[in-house]
Amino acid sequence: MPPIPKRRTATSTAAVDGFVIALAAVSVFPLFWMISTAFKPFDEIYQFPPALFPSQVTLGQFERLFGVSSGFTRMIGNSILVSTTTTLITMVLAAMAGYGLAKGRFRGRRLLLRSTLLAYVFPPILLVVPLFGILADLGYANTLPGLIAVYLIITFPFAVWLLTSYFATLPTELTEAARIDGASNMRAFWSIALPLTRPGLAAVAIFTFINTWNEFLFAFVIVGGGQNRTASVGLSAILRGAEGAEYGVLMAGSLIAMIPIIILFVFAQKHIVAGLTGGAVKG
Amino acid sequence: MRVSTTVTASATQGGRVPAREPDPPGDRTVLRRAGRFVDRHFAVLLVAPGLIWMMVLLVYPVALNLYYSVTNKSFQYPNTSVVGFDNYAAFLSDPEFWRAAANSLIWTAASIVGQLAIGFVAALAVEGLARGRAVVRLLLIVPWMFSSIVLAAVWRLMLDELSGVTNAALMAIGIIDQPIAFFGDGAYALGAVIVMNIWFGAPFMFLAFLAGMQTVSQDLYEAAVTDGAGYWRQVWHITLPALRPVVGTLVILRTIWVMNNLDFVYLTTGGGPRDATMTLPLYAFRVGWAQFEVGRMAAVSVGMMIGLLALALILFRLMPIEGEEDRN
Repeated sequence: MPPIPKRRTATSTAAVDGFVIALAAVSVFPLFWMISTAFKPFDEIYQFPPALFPSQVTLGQFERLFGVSSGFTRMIGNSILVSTTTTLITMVLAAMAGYGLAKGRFRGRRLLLRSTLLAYVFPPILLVVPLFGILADLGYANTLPGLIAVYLIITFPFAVWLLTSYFATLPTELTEAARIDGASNMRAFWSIALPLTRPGLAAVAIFTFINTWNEFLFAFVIVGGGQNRTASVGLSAILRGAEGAEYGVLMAGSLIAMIPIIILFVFAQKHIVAGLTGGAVKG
Repeated sequence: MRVSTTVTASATQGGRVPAREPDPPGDRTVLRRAGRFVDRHFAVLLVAPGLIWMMVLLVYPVALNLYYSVTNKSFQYPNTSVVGFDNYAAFLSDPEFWRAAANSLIWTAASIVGQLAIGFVAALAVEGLARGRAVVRLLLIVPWMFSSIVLAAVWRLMLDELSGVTNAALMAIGIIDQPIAFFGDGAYALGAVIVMNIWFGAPFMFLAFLAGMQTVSQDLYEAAVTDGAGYWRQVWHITLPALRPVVGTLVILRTIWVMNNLDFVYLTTGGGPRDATMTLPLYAFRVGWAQFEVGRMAAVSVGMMIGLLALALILFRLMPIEGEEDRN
């Protein structure tokens, strides 16, 4: 993502400024509301009209969230395990495939690249129920390895697409020079191409992590019951609780679940913007 | 024989690299031969593991669905027999299915149009800002951080009938007299989920538009100013045409994504009240996962898949797509 260049028109009217401030307010308000509600005392959450800020900051909602029987700590642990493992596997496989697709000269390369994206045309709901069936047959239903194995279908196509476009921008002369010097293809890939693709790898890692961390449907179907639930699935249970959503606990849990994302967002904004626009605009 | 030599030659990375010196005769250890094999077929070997895994995850469920769709497979009964096209007939004659199809069209079209419109206006406004653009850009992509479950949770809290901040605000400025159950009232539910989806998805459009606007040459605008063209004429004749390729790719990807999205509706309204927000993925999900009718669900999802492939093809035809060739 290039730095924002000089603006076109020298005049930015008060109307434009006001409009942008309003947009930003609408954009940020739900995040603010989540944080504010998470720290409110119980009875303030259900008062009408609601107060913008808690009258006093309490941690009661968090105490209830992490209460003995909730299992939320374990769910966060499951989410961390699933997201990091899926990210590692996706990175390795997508870096390999992306390099092969960008620099290889075999037949059907372009077709393969396009058909990876075709994966997103299939409704996830069409895929997930049969996949649950396979996992059940193999004894991996309701297990984290089962979920990780299946997550590749969500993470791999985007990762390959992004990395292929990064590898494609590397001048072929670089790897060819290494080949002429007698290096193997493996060396050219490992020691020359990979280090030069660090920004792409970073974007892929961040995106894969966030997508799996936030994922709901696959986790709901595959590890929906029992102790292997991820944080998303656990939160959905609170949301769809028999006696209505417990908003205080829900906002506390939402905030906890969002912390890794917020951290990445603040410290890796550059990579996130590059990845978001990379699918549609040349990087 | 001929095939294998072609593959070897074309698989060698670069293709134009001069052949390596043959190994000295007599050196035939397994390791070296394996190393040479890897080196020759390097690109194919790199691509294979990920792609094979993908194919297993994709082809198997799709094939299984095609088979299930002509059977009476159910999670409740152990026996399965082929029933032909009964499942297709069953859902095609189900008024609920057609309701879901209509809802899906409204949900997708309204969400995408709304996201495009807001994303474009926001990008124009931010581009015209005198200062603080980096900060504003960061603030405007905050919705993207939300997962579907957190999104649904916060929006349900905000739109709550009894304690919601939205009702409080609308009542304070006098737009409504009585609190509205946005997700619980059939008159508002679909609109409410669409607004939530626009809020969530507009940042993608905004970022793409903003990035696209920055690729437009300043000379064009300067020339337009010299010719006396006003701001909106510049937007219409220079900015919009330059953004068309970006829009094409984005609209296709987002349309498919929104069409396939189940989480947002499931987690906010669950398809209700009284099917007011029932969309196709949710319909399929309910048939298969809640009613255990795997065969019928497979038929529905095969139908959806065909519809989506057709839609993708039509959109690919209609939209100018950014040339993939210059990226590969």
